[in-house]
Amino acid sequence: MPVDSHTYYCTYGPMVLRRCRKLLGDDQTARDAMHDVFVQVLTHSEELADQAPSSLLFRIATNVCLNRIRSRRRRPEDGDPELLVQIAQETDPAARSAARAALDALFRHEPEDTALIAVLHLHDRMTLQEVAAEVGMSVSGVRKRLEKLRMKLHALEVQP
Amino acid sequence: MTSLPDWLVERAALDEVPPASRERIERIERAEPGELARRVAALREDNAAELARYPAAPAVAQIEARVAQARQARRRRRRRSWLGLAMSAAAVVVVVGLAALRPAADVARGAQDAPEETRVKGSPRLLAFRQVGEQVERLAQDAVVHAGDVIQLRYKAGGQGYGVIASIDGAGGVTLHYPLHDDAPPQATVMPAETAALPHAWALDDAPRFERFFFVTANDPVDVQRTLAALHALARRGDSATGSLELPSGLQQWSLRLRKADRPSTHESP
Repeated sequence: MPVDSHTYYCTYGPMVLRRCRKLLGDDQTARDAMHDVFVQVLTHSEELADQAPSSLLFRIATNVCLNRIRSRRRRPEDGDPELLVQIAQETDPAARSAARAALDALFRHEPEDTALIAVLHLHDRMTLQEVAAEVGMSVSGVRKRLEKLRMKLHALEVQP
Repeated sequence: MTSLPDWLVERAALDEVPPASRERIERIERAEPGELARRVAALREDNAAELARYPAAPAVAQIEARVAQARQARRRRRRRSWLGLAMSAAAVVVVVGLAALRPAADVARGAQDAPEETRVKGSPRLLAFRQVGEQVERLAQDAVVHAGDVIQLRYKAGGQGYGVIASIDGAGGVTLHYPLHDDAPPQATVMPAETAALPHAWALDDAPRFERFFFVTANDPVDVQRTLAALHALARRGDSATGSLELPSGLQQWSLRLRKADRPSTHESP
């Protein structure tokens, strides 16, 4: 689908920036992430379907930000990944104290879209139906992923 | 507190509310009349303010330049994979043909025939530049740098198809520069054929003694996590300023060390 970069950026840029700012906190990092999102989408513009782009951009923005959060975990100047801590806590409020320590283990070896699903449902408060439509899965598939995440967190809690 | 999540207001402002959310939005409008319209208006105001403060044209130009680069890299990768496929097919034909023609007596000494070594044209190189005001200065091995100096890296894989660029510092820190994410799959280590620059420059932090950049290359995709583990291991060692990475065979390494001065930079950061 032919895409006019300028129109596309003016229409969706502010929305993508707000999304990145919300997940990453820092304005400059959010602007860098926004650029990454548009580069990804426009590089594959010929493969875009002619439908509402906001959903695609929102999803890519979320993934770009989650990748940045993962990679900065080992860079102390960037602080803690508060978003993932929140997800861990909301997955099971009783795990509050263990949440920070469990994060790496929680998302390690999980498909990338499990973190996306968790963010959409627990952070953005999308219903299971909305998440399913957003990521192109069935509602039961989404439910299973979230259930697996909860079980994994419980298992991590009982480990010595 | 409103029950309207931000993402749904964004979709409404763009007239792109997904079918799965239409009932929800109608329910919210009944429960909180006027709230959606108010928040949509606020978002549109914010959009206009953002585009006035940061006009789109320069950002779009930067994005389009990166898109062009990415498309070129994709085309090159596709050419490389087709070439690889064609060469593999040709190699199979040649090997099968040679085996059929080979006299039985030759087979006995076959193990002694070492295959001809494939030589790399040119060698991988990593160049560091420091931005000093409007000027750019190339940094040689052991050049003295300061906390706050803005560094940009350029690299050339010298015919090797894959690579990882990372640095260690005198405080034992490890930073990955290419690919961008430490959970990147091996395929993400593909290198452009020509000299390229990392997409971002960055300011050096106040880690003491040195900043040492490593360029790890190979003919096959590189395991990023394993390479990072080798970097962490070296960063913890006493000889981290001079030692080599312990890497699996097939990987080659180059390093460029910059010395850290004790005093802060006198260079003006942009």
